[in-house]
Amino acid sequence: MPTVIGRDELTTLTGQGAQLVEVLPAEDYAWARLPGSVNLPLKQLDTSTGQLDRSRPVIVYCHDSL
Amino acid sequence: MSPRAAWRLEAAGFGPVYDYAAGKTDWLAADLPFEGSAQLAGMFTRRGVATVAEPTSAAEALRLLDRQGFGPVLVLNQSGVLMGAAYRPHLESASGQAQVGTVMRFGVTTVRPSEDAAALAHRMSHAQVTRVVVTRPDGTRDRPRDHLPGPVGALRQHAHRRLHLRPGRQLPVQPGRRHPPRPTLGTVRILREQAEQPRPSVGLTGSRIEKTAGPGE
Repeated sequence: MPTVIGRDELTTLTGQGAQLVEVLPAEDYAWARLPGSVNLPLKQLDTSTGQLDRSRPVIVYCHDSL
Repeated sequence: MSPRAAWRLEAAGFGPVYDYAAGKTDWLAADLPFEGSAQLAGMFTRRGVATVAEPTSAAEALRLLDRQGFGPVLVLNQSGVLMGAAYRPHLESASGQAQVGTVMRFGVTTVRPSEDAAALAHRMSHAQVTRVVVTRPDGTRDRPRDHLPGPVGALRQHAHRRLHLRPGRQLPVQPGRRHPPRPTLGTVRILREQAEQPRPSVGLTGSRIEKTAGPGE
């Protein structure tokens, strides 16, 4: 079950090697993104996970919780 | 969207999977480093605006204002929450020993560093506001922004005025590192533009917005 985290946990986890994934469309990613994140839009998620390292934790985010 | 992605990735065998549910909105509003083409108000915010506690004397606040070279002085409570702003006329007319909290203007409006800079400038022009104080959303050390009325008559909207955004600096990108707590980020000021300057492609009329104050500058 995925764990919901906040900013502090995100910072800690990325410091420990977690991968940061923005699941918004490419235009949103180009506009502004968290440093070090990769873009895997939700609609292409199933075909683009090859970019991710299965040995490291993954953090996903979009705009907000709404 | 991110919960669906998180569950999907977990089902695909990734783990552990975390969901930063507050997302980009939360990150940008916290004035944290980002990458991309966005021009946000935080990029135009000059840091280092003078701040005082409510019990500070008017004379001391005036000294700070003179040293800083621009105003107003922002008044914070013991928790670092922005309570108001003290302007030069208020400070000069008050007794030197008067507490700033008694002469400040209470309840200044705030904006976030994640505001789109062009949209903010447009709103400020409409409101005839020349300066805005930037704070983080919780009003304390994590991200507030307020806007303060500027000098009377300093900004008037005319058809021949142009909005021209002049970027300040990009926030440094430091993955995995948070900015130190800053109760108040600074101020953004709108200046009137010369009539003969060309209209920018953004097509907004009004004024230009530029950095006026901030920490470490």
